[in-house]
Amino acid sequence: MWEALIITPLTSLLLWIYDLVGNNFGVAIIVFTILIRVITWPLNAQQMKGAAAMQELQNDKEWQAIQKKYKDDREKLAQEQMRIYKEKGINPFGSCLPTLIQFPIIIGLYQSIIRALAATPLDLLKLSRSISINPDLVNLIPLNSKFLWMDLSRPESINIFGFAFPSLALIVAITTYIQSKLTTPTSSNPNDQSAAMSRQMTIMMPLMLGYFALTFASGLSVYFITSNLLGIVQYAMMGKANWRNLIPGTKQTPAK
Amino acid sequence: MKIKPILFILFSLLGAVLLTSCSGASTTWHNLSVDEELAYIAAGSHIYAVRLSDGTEVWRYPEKASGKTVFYAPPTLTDDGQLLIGSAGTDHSLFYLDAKSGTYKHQFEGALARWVAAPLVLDGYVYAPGGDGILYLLDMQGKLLKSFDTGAPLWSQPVTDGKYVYLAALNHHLYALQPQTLDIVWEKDLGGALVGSPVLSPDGALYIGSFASKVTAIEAVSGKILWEAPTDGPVWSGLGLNTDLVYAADLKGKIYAFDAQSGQRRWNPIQPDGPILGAPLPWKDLMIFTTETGAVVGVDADGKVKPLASYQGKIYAPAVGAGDLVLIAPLETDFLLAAIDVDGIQAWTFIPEKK
Repeated sequence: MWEALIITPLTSLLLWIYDLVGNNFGVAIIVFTILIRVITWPLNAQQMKGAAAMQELQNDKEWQAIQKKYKDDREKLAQEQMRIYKEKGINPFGSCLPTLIQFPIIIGLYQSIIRALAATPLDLLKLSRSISINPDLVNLIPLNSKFLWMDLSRPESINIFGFAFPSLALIVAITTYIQSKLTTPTSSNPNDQSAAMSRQMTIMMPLMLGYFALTFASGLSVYFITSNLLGIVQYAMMGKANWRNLIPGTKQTPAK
Repeated sequence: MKIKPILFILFSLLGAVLLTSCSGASTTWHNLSVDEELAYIAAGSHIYAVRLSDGTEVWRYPEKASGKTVFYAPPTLTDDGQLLIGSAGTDHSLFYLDAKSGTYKHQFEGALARWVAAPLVLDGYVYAPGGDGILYLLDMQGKLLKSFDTGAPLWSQPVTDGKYVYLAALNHHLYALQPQTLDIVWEKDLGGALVGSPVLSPDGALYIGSFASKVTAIEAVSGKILWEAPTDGPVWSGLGLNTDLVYAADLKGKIYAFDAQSGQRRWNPIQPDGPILGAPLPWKDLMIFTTETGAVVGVDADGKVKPLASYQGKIYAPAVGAGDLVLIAPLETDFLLAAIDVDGIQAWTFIPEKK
């Protein structure tokens, strides 16, 4: 089911793009990511709006008041929260549902990239099956995994004075951090647990993705970077990016 | 609300697990080789030497599993009693072991990627095809002498007629190289990825199957194409040669027999079972094929199929002949190795003892 609905179509699409862009797998991953990002644009926009609305709610006087008033009555608190959601037209799942829907697509993307690279016999066997419906794609195997200075089927590093410097992992971590900082609305409420959670994610996500970039095939890093940059662009186009948050020592401003 | 950080950590771990599974912990399958007394099976964390007479373990290497070394490539035996095998793990080493005792002797550490194929030994030199696309010329102590970069993974053992070394690469190219200098004598683009080794005939022809769904016959000395014959699916495995017939099998599970001289089909393709990845084994009057769906079948010169054995697991590795026995290395079974006779009757199975 997963194979037929997600992996096979995504892999075929990736190879079709690879063929179209002149057998350059790096460019194919970038185009592929842009395409997927465009298709999931409404979902991303909904998620960003939902997250911002939820965050803004944390600064709402009435919201803060009911938190205090019903701190010992969870049932009543939940009822009041639902009332405010309704009044303000906020869907409490508006930020996480799109993420949940996208999650299989993201995992499918990773798997398609790894499969298309076919760096091992089992991967090649799976790839040959994924594209067996189109014999022309079979002739593309093996894919040219060289892109700029990288071999996309292996973790990347640049040799600097004998030291293997993982430049791509660093770029992944930096772009993830920038995206997180720009897209995370801040809260003036010191007791806001979800804001504290967002701050933790701003640190943990770059570290986690940076580690993945360090460990896995650099084709994934190209995907991460492209996806991060597109996320930043999308947020900026929506007028939600907090550019001042990037400057260290500056008092953070809430999202508009 | 305190549960949220924990959820986030769990979410991160789930992501890591999913990505790790994407990269594939198991990358290929077991492979084996034999001498007069022992079978050597590369089976993940260890290589096992198994006595052919009764299927008992003689030694294993390494004694304790390492996270860095994984063995799947077919081992190569040398005339001076060494067993050469590359690691498909993260260390990318080619090990030189004593074949009788499994003792470590030498190691080559210069490869850039995992090893999938077996090295070839010719006149005291090792021709080791790397997953990084480089053919390494090494001495018998693992010292690098020269290299030849094809730019694409090498997953099959080179073959030789003593004059040249013939090397198939995933980049669709078949190379004829001068031994020791690794200078190109000729190279041919065969239109599709070359996963299996070419087969050499005594009269100087090379036969090879490709992902371009065809079998090609080439004059070994010149690289001139003698004939091409289509198959219905991509050919993964090496081919089998028996007197005047060239046997091939494809990923659709079809078996073909071509006239070695003309490339004409001798009989209509037969499809005894699932996809075939292992090269056929010429054995007595039969050509023995293993299928992904766990079947072992013999095919005679008239295209008659003789089922020999069937296993619950998958078989990707080719069958290997050892005297009167045929050795099979299936995956996903409770044993690593099975020995069957000409009638398919099981002589023994090998299950490694837990240590």
